[in-house]
Amino acid sequence: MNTLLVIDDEESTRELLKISLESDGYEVYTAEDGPSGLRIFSERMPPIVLTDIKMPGMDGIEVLRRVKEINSDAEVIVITGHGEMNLAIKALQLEASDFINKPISDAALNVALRRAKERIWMRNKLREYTENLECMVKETTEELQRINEFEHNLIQVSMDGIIANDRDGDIIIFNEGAERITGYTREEAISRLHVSQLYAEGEARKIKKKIYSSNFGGPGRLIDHEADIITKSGERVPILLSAVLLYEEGREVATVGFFKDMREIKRLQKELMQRYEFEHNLIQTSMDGIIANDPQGRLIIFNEGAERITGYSRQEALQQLHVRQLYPPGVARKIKKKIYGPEHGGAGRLINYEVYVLSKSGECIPILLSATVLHEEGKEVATVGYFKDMRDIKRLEKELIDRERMAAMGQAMAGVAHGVKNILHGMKLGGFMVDRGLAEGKESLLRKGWSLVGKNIERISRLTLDMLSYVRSNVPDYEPCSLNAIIEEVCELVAGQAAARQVNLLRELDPSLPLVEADAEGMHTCLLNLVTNAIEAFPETGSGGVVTVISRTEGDDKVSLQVKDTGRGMSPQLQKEIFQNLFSTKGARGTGLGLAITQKIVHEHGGSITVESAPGEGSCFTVTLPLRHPARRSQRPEEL
Amino acid sequence: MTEKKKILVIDDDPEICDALSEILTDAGYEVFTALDAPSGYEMFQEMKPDLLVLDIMMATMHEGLDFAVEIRKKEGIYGVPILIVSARPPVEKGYGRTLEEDLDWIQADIFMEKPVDPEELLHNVRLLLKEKK
Repeated sequence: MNTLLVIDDEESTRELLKISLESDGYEVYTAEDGPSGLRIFSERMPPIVLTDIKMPGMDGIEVLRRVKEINSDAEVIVITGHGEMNLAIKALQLEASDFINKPISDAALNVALRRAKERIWMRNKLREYTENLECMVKETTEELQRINEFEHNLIQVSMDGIIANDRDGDIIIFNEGAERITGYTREEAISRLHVSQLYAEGEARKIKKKIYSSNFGGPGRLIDHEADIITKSGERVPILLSAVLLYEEGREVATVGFFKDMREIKRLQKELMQRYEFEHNLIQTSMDGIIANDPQGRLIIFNEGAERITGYSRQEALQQLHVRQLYPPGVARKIKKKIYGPEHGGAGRLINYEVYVLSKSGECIPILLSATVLHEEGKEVATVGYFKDMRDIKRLEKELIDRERMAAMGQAMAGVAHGVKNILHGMKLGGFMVDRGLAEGKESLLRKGWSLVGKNIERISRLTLDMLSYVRSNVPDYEPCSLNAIIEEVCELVAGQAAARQVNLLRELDPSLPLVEADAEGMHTCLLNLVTNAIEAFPETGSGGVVTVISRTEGDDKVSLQVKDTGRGMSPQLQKEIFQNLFSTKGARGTGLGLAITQKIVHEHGGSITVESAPGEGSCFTVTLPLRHPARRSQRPEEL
Repeated sequence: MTEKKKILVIDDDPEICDALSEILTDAGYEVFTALDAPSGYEMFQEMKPDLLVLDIMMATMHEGLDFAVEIRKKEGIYGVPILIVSARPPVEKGYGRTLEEDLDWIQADIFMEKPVDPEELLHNVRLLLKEKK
């Protein structure tokens, strides 16, 4: 910018200009003729050249021309002498930036230089602008291309069909979605298919009308119009059409249509409807009662099951019933507390809670209630309750119990029949012996026969008593009693029996045994059975043996009673059978009911009975009883 | 006078054993008794009886049946005749549901259900011992 080349054949002028320009801050090169000036110019490329016009050899005009050839942007100021105006003009035509007259005044020189510099600045700016502009144009073009491609791709891959047609109805855009919906390929459609061929007869015209009218989204637009497309194979496909007219310079050039394939939507809608209906039906036809109430207790759902259970119709319930009225007085509040409390399935839930509902006719109906609080955006909006009608279940339960009782009775009968058979067998043999003894005059046979008959009469009495005690239905009378005292009684009772078999009957009683809440009579029966069994584990011939009865305190809430014998013991198989089957190892002597009765009584007391035994090792029966009789925790519904 | 025929009675009820013993002795047989299968087996080895009179339900629900099977295995089909006398109800674990089904494999020549008629019992005993009346 601050470099100058001065070309002048006059040394004085050169020096003058050099001094003056250098003092103005320019860096100045000088040359005394055109060729050397051009050489310097080529080397140094000064932006501004001052050249004399009239020079020997190459004149200023030629220098100007050459300089402009080398660098058209160089500013050339020509120095003219008097009367050289024509040359000056020529120079200007050759794009010299200015001329100054000799003698050169400082002012004129400065003006010329300033102009030259301005021109250079302008040109630079302009170049910058141009470059910028080019850049911007390039970028914009690329952007446009990208957008175009993007739009093209968008159009192409859109799930919807996009079809554009020109004013004549010829198709000019036909995307993949359109291919999918219509069955035509793009090649088949573009410029070969008329848009009206996509619709049923007359339909295209109607659509066109609608696009022009202002009632369907404004003039030139159509929004969500339901129509059918006729596919290549002649099938009708339901679509949702939106269309718009495209204008260019105020002229209508094309119509673009967007097609939504309604098959999928219709299918989804159908599914949704079905699902809704399904759920609605599910709620309505559920065997269980389903009710829902808002936070104020107004009923908002009341299904058929609820109608069945309560006797109210849905309408009655929704219009005039408060959820409170479905339960006996005060129960609704209690239920609400339980729903919010943590103990039945967590806060906000209630699971399988037994309660009564109050039917329209005032009947109390047992149900199993499960309830849950529904929230929306953190606010409680409703409580849903599921009622399981327990009437049938209760009936079934009762039937089951009855059936079990019948089965047990059947088993008992079989056991009894077995016992009776054995007794009869003995009686028949005895009777036969009596007959023979009488016929043959054999007194010993007569005696033996008669004694056998007598023993069997004894047995049948015992069997009858056992049966009575097994089926006795009198309610046990639980009161504190001393088990040690009962053990003493029992041992006294069987002392004779034990002595007959030479069995040593021992007692190991805990003197500090606490009183136990029990049915004294029942306990007596249990112990008598166990001790009798133990004694009878030994042969009648009296081979000697030991039976030990033990009482113990177990912790601070239980006691245990044990009856141990040193008899023949039992196989594991037999240990299972003695409780299960009403069968006896004593042949006709046992009724097979003793242990069954014992177990029944122990269980009624909330206790347990176990046996430890092995063949040849003797047996030990252990009865464990709680000190307090557990309050019979029947799952009774809420007290009314 | 031939040797007396030997009969082994096995029943866990001592009184029944005694009664049968009396009746069969009175009818002219030599009678041995056992109250369970193991001692019955010992007695069987020792005495080589001509007839077994067996109860089924002794220490287990089918001790007599098992015993009969054992004897048959040992003796073969033409071995000692077996007369079973039992009050066993027809439905039991591990065996057929009915006595009829069980009889197919019960290794007894004659099965009598308690209570038996003693006359019939004597008749069957004679039958099994192949004694002409």
